[in-house]
Amino acid sequence: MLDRIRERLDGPSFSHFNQGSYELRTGVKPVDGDYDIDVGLRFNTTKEEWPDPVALKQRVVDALSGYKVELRRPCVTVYYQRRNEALYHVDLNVYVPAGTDGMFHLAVGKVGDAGKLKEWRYTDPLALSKAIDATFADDDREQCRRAIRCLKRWKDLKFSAEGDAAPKGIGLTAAALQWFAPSKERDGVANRVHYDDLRALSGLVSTMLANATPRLVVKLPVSPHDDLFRRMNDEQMRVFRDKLQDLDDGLRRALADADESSASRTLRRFFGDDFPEVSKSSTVRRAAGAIVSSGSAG
Amino acid sequence: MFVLDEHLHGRIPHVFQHGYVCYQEHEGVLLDRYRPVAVAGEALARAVETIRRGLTGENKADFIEELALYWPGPPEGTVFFAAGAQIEPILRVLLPWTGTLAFVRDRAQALELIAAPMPFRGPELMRLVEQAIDNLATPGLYIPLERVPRPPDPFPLGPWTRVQLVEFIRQNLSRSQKRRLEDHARGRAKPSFALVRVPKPRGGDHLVGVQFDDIRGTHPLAGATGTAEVRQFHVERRDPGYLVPRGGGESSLQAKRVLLVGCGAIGGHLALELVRCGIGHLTLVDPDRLRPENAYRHVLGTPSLGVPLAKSLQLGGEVQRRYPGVQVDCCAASIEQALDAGTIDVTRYDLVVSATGDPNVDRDLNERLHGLANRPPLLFTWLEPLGIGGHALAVQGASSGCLDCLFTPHAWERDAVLVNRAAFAAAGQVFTRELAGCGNAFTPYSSLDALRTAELAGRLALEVLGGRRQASLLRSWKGDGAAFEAAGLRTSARYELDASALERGGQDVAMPGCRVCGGCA
Repeated sequence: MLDRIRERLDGPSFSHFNQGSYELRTGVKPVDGDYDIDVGLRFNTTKEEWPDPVALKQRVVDALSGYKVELRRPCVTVYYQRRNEALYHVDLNVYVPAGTDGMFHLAVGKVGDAGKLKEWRYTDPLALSKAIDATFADDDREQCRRAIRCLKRWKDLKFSAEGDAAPKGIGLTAAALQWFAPSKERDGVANRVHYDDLRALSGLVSTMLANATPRLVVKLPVSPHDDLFRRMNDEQMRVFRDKLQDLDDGLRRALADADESSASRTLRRFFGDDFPEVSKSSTVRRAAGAIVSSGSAG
Repeated sequence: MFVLDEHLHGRIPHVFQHGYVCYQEHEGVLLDRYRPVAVAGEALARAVETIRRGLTGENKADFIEELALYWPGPPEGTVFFAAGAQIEPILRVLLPWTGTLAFVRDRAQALELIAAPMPFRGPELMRLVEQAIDNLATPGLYIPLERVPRPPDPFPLGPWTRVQLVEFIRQNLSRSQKRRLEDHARGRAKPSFALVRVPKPRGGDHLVGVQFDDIRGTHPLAGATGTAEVRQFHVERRDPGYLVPRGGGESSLQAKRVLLVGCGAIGGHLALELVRCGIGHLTLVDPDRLRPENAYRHVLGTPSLGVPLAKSLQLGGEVQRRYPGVQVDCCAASIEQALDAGTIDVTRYDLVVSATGDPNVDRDLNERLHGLANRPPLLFTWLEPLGIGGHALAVQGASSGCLDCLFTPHAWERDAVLVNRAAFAAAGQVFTRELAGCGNAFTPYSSLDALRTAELAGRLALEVLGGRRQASLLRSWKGDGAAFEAAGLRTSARYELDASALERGGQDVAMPGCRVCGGCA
């Protein structure tokens, strides 16, 4: 698709980069609907040369004739499907560089918008990713990502996709950035670190709940620093809080459960049937490796 | 440097026959080879100072410090028994194979010495040797003086008289020891000689001999009226109390009892090293014979291949042959059999070392001993293939952590596999090779790997026995991984740790959830 745009685009050249959950590697397989991939197109031009941001977006749409493409206010969306079933869609975000500080202007607006709705919005699409990289190192970051994916799956499963009923994925990600603490222990003999994801997730959820007084406010760590749950009304926020409380209770129950099988059943209620199930028989571990080569000699 | 005045020869400390002045030890001296005049001047000054101190009597105690030098008489045999703190009857035995005399603790030690060079020790032959001992042995006394504050005054020149000798001995004994001496001297087996231990003022001791011939009436040592011909003699010391500290060992370890399970490449080196460090009693357990394939990495080497005896028995013989004062017991059985049969009672030992290299045997031993009330410290040692390293784990009651903790996965570990957490080799690989098909599988490692592992274990054993180490501790040496990697094998995360930290060791052995110790303090 990018090759196609480069080939046919009647406009300035561009470079592309992954962004959003695809770039953060916090994407989850949707329960219903298609995958969402965010790609940034950084055009080698300026907002002064393209005073109408929609004009540049339209050039992108034009280059993609033959694709199922839609010019939406924040981006250009390209839909992929197989036998009329949506596979995934790619949101193409159109940027021009803003000065020299690594920031961008995002092309906002759609055809027919009033001049006020059309703008080059000052933004840093990679800010969250940079912040997560700066906050958590290596394997801690991986555990943080796993926790975010759990929350996003829980969100997909437990909230309506309509309107602003569900907390936004970026909001959950920013919450993790703010409140996640890795849960790990070092085995000094083996020189290895072991992670307990359940404990870490449980810690994150209870910290989120403790900060929901009564609204959970999570701000984007960069400009414009707006509250990512601001669009939820008070009733939606109350439901969010109640469901968080359910999740908190469930995670605590699973943590305290010595039986891995029943603990996994508890977790499947929150994360769905593709969450790994531990059956009674597989609780008896290591059946395969009862005779191994030790390498020890005397 | 010599003194010409004959009146001084042998009369003051450090001035010997012909006037030779010993003003400086030879050993450890560095001379300024480019200033010979200065060296000569300094030597002269020191010799003069030595003579001055002798004339004023300042260094009179040096007569005792160097008593053996001033003790007249010929050398007359070799001391093998452990010189203790108590007056004891001893024996002087003629060793028939060499024609030399040996001073021994008792008949058993005499037998051991006589039998040591014999290639074959059938029971009938041993009975003959035993009968012969009565003809070869003479009874005597071992007399340890308690402390000798000053030498006899004047210091006897030439042979001492009967009175001088008896006084010297009796004056430096406590009242109770004096009584003990009298009891022994009046006993049925009249001691015809005495070996006298004289403690040196600056540590250590001398052993010097006195021969009593033609005893009439009460024995002179009983302090009464009897008479005898007396004659002084020297002995060559091969008793462990003398040799062990000279070899850098610790005399205090003489009383320690160590059970060594596994007499393979590591165990073989370890047995000899423990003895060299001063361990006085060793019990060796191993049911297997040395296999020809392993001869090049075993301390016994090829001569042992022709002997149809287990490694434990052969190693025991080798230890006793080299270090006759050491007590060695051997058990040609597996440790499981020996414990089940009650042949071995581990509570009688100060330390149990397992060098089997077999984790299953070791874990069984670990579990069996864990339950015991008076469990001695346990030390496990093993090595890994192709020179990547070796390990020694001390397990002690004073702290948490045991061998099974190393095989216990962390509770948070995902997809845990059965593995020793201390291993340098990554899990899930096969390390054995086969020389000639089934039953010939072996782990490739060299004698140097075994030696280095034995050294690691030996040093840890000494620290544990000396009470300097009371917690459980894991130490490892890490080798160059070139051969290991060239063989296509992978190392573990532990192998990445700093070599000196690994060798210093870590106490974080305990793992909660361990099925043997629980992994908690």
